[in-house]
Amino acid sequence: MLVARGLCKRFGSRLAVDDLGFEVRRGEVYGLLGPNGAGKTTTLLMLCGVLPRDGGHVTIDGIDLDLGAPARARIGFAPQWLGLYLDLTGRENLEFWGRMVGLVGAALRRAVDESLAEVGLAERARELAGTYSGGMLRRLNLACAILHGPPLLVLDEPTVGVDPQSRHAIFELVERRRTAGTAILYTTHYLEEAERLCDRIGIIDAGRLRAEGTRRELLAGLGEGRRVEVDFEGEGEAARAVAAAASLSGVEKASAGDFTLQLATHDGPALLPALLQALVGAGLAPTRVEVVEPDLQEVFLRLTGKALRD
Amino acid sequence: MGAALRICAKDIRQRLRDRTAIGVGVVAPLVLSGLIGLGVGGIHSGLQVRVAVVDLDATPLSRGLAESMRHGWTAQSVELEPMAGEEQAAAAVADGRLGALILVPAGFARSVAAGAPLPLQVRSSAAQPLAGRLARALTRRFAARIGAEGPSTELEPRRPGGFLRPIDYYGPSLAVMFLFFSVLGGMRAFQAEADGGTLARLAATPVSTGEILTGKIGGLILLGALQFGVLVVATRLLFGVRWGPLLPVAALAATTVLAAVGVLAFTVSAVGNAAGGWVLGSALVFVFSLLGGHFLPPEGLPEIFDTFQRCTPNGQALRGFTDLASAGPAATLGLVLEPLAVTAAVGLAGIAACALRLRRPRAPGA
Repeated sequence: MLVARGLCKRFGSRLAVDDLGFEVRRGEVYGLLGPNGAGKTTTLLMLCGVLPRDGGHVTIDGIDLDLGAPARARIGFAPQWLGLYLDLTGRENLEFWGRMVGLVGAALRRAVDESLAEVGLAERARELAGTYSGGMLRRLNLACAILHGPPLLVLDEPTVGVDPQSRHAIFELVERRRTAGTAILYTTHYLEEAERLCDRIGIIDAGRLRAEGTRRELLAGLGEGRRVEVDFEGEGEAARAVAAAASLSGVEKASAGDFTLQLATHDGPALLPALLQALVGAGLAPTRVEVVEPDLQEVFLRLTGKALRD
Repeated sequence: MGAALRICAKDIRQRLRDRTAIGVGVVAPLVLSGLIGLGVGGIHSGLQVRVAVVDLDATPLSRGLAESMRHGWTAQSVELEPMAGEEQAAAAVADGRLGALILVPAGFARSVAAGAPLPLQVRSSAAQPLAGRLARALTRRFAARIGAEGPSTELEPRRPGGFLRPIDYYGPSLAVMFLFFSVLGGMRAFQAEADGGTLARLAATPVSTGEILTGKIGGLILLGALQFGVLVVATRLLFGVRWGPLLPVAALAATTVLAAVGVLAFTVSAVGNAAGGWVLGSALVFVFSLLGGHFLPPEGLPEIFDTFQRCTPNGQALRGFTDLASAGPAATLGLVLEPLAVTAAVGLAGIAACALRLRRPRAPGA
């Protein structure tokens, strides 16, 4: 549905997006993750035709983005900054944005009613948007994007600053649209959101795509399996445990902190019986044993570093 | 073009909901017009001036000039003094006993018949510049009536803001000034959309940049025209303000709105943010109002204020409106060609510059 190749964008001497390329398929949620200033929003704006590209090529549903209106008509864009008119009612906002994508008359009224119902704002539709809560504004923002049933949804951090109920409603809407075959490009800072919603994830930093794949593929790329952590109460017990566990089959690496033994392994649960037997045999008494799964955060931090971003 | 109209309609709806905008745009100038009219000599009071007509032609046409001055809305304000000798009249003007002198030279009727501009000369007393202004207006009205060009000779620089009742001056003055303030409010809202990202969101729809800018600028122009039209009608009905004939007034009103939109669209978009644009725009409107003669007519002020007025689009507009009011029902478009040209040119240039600046809307966070 969306194919982007070799995207480039320069602001003065700063290269904000550098040879970026990816695809978003029908019925797929593609997560674009990256730290602040990585180039996510700039990329989305180029894909929606808001910012001119300095290089690269984009097609939407097979239509060259440079053709303008025909390509942009296939996009539903929900910006992170809430592109809404607070001095219009929710319904008036939807009517206006609906007209901007070519809806008129009965089709417009039907689309507005359906969108309001889908985001749970039907009862507050005649109130000024300026009186809405943050979560309601986010839902209205999303409703404006889905009005015309676009085959591609571009959602830029759609859950920023919302309560758990609104976030849940937004997740459900995204999942319904995916099921209906919509291609969804989704950016977020919340990695647990990406883990839950995204079929594939691209991690971007300094304008370049650092890694791409399913969650499983990204974790596999990390090169690390599960970790087993074992806590002890006594001084020196963790160090003694290293000697007892290091020779066990399946343990790739053993290390000790003050009171914790850490084992790197690809199959943590299978290791547990032999591990416990070895530890007890060595006269050690574990107080906690946990198999720790690697997660996207580890992948993200590994790829983008731990330095703070502005 | 449909999208541009819808954007325009949305903007107008938003502005008409804004009670502050209506207060600033319509109520304030009406209240101030009323107060000024009442406070400066009464709304219906006028100035009495003595004007001498020296008729050296003594033809029916030249006598018709003097006769024409006894009629119309100036009749109650002008005391005509027929004088036989030019020297005697000139002396009376020089020492201030007469406000102005209109000299009808010999051969006047022949010259008019030959299609030449009216060979009239007008001199005004330094002590009574308003009288000279009125005398020139009367000769222009006469020229318009007989289908001739205006006087070929003016012995003094033209001084706008001349004879008019206070309400006839301050009605247009306040209308133009508050038009600029209202347009500034509309432009601030436009820039706030650019700052807030709704323009960027619009750019992501199938609507073209040209349609977006047309809708936005068109909304400002239509609202400005609506406001100015309401003020013209209201001041006419409520205070009896004389604006002049409909066609030239409408044409000048249209270019004045264009100028207001152009100047403020350029200023606010050049600043690049709504808050800063509002501050600079307000200061600009205030300074332009001062220089343009909105607070005090240039008449009676040092000569440089006449130049200041001509150098500001609002001042040009005000000159045009007061010229139309002075000339009365016979005024034509030709009387206000300079204000029309200047205000239209300023408006179009400012709008073009604004469009260039906003053709690529900024997106927050990009």
